[in-house]
Amino acid sequence: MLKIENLHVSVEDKEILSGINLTINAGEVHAIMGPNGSGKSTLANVIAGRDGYEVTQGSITFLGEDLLDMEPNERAAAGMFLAFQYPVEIPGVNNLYFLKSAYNAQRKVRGEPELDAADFMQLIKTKMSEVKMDQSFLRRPVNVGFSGGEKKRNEILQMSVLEPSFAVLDETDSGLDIDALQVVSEGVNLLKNPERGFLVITHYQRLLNHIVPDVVHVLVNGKIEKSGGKELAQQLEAEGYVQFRGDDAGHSRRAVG
Amino acid sequence: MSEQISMANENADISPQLWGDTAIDTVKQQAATELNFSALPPAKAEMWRNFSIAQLRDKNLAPAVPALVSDPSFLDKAWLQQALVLEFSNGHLVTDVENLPISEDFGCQIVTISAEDMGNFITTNKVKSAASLLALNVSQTQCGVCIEISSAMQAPIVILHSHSQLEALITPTIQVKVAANGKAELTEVFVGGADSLAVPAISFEINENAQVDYTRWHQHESNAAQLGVLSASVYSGANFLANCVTTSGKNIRLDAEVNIVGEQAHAELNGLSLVEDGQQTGLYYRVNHLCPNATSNQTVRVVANNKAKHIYDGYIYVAHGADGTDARQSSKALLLTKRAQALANPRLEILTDDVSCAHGATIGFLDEDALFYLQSRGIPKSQAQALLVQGFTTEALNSICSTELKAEINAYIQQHYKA
Repeated sequence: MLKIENLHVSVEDKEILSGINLTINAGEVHAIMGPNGSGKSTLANVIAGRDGYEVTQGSITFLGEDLLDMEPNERAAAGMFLAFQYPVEIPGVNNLYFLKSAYNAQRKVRGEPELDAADFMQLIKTKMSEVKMDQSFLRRPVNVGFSGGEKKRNEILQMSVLEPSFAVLDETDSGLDIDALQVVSEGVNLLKNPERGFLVITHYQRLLNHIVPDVVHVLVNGKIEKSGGKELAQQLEAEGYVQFRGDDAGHSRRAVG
Repeated sequence: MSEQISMANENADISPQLWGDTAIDTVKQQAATELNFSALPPAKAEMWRNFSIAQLRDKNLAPAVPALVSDPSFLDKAWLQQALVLEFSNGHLVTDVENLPISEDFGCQIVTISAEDMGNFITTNKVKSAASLLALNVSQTQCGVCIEISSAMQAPIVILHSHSQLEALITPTIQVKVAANGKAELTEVFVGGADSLAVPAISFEINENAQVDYTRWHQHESNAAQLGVLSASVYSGANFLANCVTTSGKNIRLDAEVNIVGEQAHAELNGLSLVEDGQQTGLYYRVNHLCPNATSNQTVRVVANNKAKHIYDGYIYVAHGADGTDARQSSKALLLTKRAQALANPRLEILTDDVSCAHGATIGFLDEDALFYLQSRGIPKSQAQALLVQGFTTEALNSICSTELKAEINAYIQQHYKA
């Protein structure tokens, strides 16, 4: 489903990812763990198509298509979804209008008929109850005044509505209390099926107790240093990244610029 | 001296006795004298504005006459169906004030302006930044009305200014008097243009505990020019909410000055300007806090595209003894291209100690993070840009009370920025 080969990515001439190889098949959940500054969010952003990242080598293939050749909205229409680490606030655009615009834009690209307001409202009500989100959030501007947990829940709502083939969750657990973590995880688990893949990026093993991964990768200094089963996450939680970073464990990265 | 200089005075001299009232003619003559032999303000007096009226000086403007056939298409709009519509054609009221369909219990009456009220435009209602424009309006006006609101009005008033005469000088004069505890919703809409110059003047007297929601919508043709002037006096406990929306026009500006003369009064001068290539728009706002314990707000939002230019000059004046004043000002401009210009000039003059004044101005481009966020959800870039601009303008329209009018303006903006 998603195949990343020898991916090298630079930001302002500093190499952040140094040869990532990763294959995720439909129905699989992969987790990427790694210390601060290891390149986790860079990988998520490159997959989603954010500007400012230069791919110097390698390729990403998604459902047989060259993902790097697509605009961000084309990637979304092809079935790619990124749940943001820091969801953006958009003043003046209400959540309902935004969701409907996104939903219909994707349907249009796929040649499917657009949903009218009444039908979309029906759909969104169902999805909101799944992620236990109050309908009052539909009338509010996108993420404006939302708490950290509400923003993340809103990400899961969007994923639930857009039903992508593949979702990248970039530190979705950060900023969530224990109850919200459970709700968000349930939202993700509801979407798990044999046709859908997930890449879960996290610092902590806690999230992986709720969203159980098939494979765990350890990303350090822009490279996948180790891959294993879910027990690898438990090992990292217990031991930290010392075995990968040595004396450098706990240090910040070198700032770019 | 240019041709326009003589034009102004010739017209004043030969001005028809429109109301058959020598007192009015005396006021007009007095205003013409105040013009000091200059139709438009001299270049030196305009330098501070950063708003060029050089092109307007070159126009050979004729006195305005009403169009024989009015364009009814605008009047079909749904949001106008409940309103009392006063239609001005090239500055002339289309229906005589005596024949306007106003029932006794409507809450207002509309009469021809009195010589005293007309004179106030060049004396007590003076707008400091546009005194010569007011003198031009009064000296040249061929139609002046006074809207007297006595209680809470049953329906909104919409004044439709339609400009169709080629190269005309259009100068309607409107006085609005709201009695104590009165309540009114009033909208002025300017359409057409025909390469004319409009110098309309409107003045508000808002008495104790009255409330006025005023929206001014410049929906001109792309070649239209307007140098408008607004003044207001706001008395104790009264509330004046003014919004100036400019969605089109070539050279459009408004000088507005509000005097807050009663405690617990509140005034807002807000603005939303959408400026396109080759257009310039300007909002010159001044709020004078002349008594204690009153509040005011100025909120201006601008979207400038291509080689557009917008100027916001916002002044807050707090007089000696106006303690307890709370006056705020916020200006945000969104530039859609690197060639677009937005100038913000917030100014405060505070002559007392116990006040709270705040001002903030930002000018920037579309938020790249927000753009990416929308794109990542499948929304194409051009549509995402339009959505962000609409979001920005929606916020600016929040202070308009009428949901129908807000929806009408929003629909217009959506069409304007449709991807």
